[in-house]
Amino acid sequence: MVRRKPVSLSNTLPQLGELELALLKALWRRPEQSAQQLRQQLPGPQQCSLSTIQSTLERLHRKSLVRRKKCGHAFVYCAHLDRAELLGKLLGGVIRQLHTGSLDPILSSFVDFADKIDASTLDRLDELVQKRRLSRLEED
Amino acid sequence: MLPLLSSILLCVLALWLLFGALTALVYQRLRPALLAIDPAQASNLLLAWLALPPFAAVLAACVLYSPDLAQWFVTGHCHFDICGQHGPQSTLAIVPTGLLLAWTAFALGRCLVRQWLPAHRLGKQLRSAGDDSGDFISIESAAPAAFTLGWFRPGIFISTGMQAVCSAAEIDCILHHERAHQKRYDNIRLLMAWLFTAPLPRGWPGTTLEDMKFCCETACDLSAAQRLSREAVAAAIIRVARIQQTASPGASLAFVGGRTEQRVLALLDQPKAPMASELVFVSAAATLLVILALINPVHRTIELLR
Repeated sequence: MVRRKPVSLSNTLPQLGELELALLKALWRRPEQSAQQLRQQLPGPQQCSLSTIQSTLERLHRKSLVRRKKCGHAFVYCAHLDRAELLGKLLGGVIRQLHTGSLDPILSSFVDFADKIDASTLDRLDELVQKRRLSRLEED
Repeated sequence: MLPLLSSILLCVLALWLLFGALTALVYQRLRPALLAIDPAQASNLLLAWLALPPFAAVLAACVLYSPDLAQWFVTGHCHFDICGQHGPQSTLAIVPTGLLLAWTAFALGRCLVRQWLPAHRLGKQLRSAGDDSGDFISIESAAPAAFTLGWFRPGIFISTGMQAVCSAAEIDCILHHERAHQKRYDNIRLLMAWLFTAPLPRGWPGTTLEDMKFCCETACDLSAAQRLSREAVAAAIIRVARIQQTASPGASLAFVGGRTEQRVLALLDQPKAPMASELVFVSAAATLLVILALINPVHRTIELLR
């Protein structure tokens, strides 16, 4: 008997490969598809064998990112999270890591999330900008 | 052969650490002068300063172990009946070399695994799941965020949450700032800076790395200000800081300071002039002379360890 890995119950978004994302995208476009149908929808560079698609879908199922139900001999899959939910989770993870500073060296955020600045300082800076604008107008 | 090879490696690694400590000490003196010049030039000089320890270590080792070059810098001396030019060798070098080499490989590997891989993976995920609008990749999420991610082909990502609360002018400021990061390859610069300092204790290059990141941000602010105005960019920074503060109040503890405030003040200050190229050249020449002056004492120190 094949022993299956338990389905992931974690709230954090697991790592996703290129093929996993391509399959999720195909499922967002059209839910409830079999592995064979999904294979036909993949773009040229991502074409691969049916068994690769099946094992990738199995991984997605273990990561709780797709649901499946038996339909005849084959499984039919649909995405567990919609696109906005997945992106929200992905970005939420990025922001959490930005707060801890662990992503600081790898991306350039417009305003540093980890920077702790209080409202009164922002008010003071706003006043300085306004003063500068006024003096610029007077000069002109 | 093994003692020679391990002596060369030990020399490179030990000098990397030594120069790392020296540059960290000297930086405290140089810091005010570097922060007073044009931020774009300052970020280049800071990267060069952080690259100095590994490159100086390799240069010094090349000179030490090349008889033709060493004759100019090492005073003549004999070991028993051998009086010709020689690279310093120590039979005791094998163990410390192994330890230092293992540490350096671990530190460089850790740096790549913690920074290169996550950024590569995250960039791919966000690119394929987001909507590419040409100017930037829009991420469907209520969390307000705007950033540049990626190494050789960095992408600009702006969440729909940020687009919803910012005006068109503010989004324009963000785009000009992030485009400057793209053009300057700031993410690659920062990764290189981390790699150059990976084997050193984190505290040594900490201030220099922070200052380099600040100079990169300020350089991008000024680049955006050339297209728009200094006040517009400063106002956009304040606005985004407020939005992020509201979105995650847990992160906005009450104390004054930080890079956001410094960036706004830098935009409102008078423009800083770049350092004269003659002065940059003289500083580089003086640094080279200091490295070469250390060759003889390093040679003698290694020989003392035999």
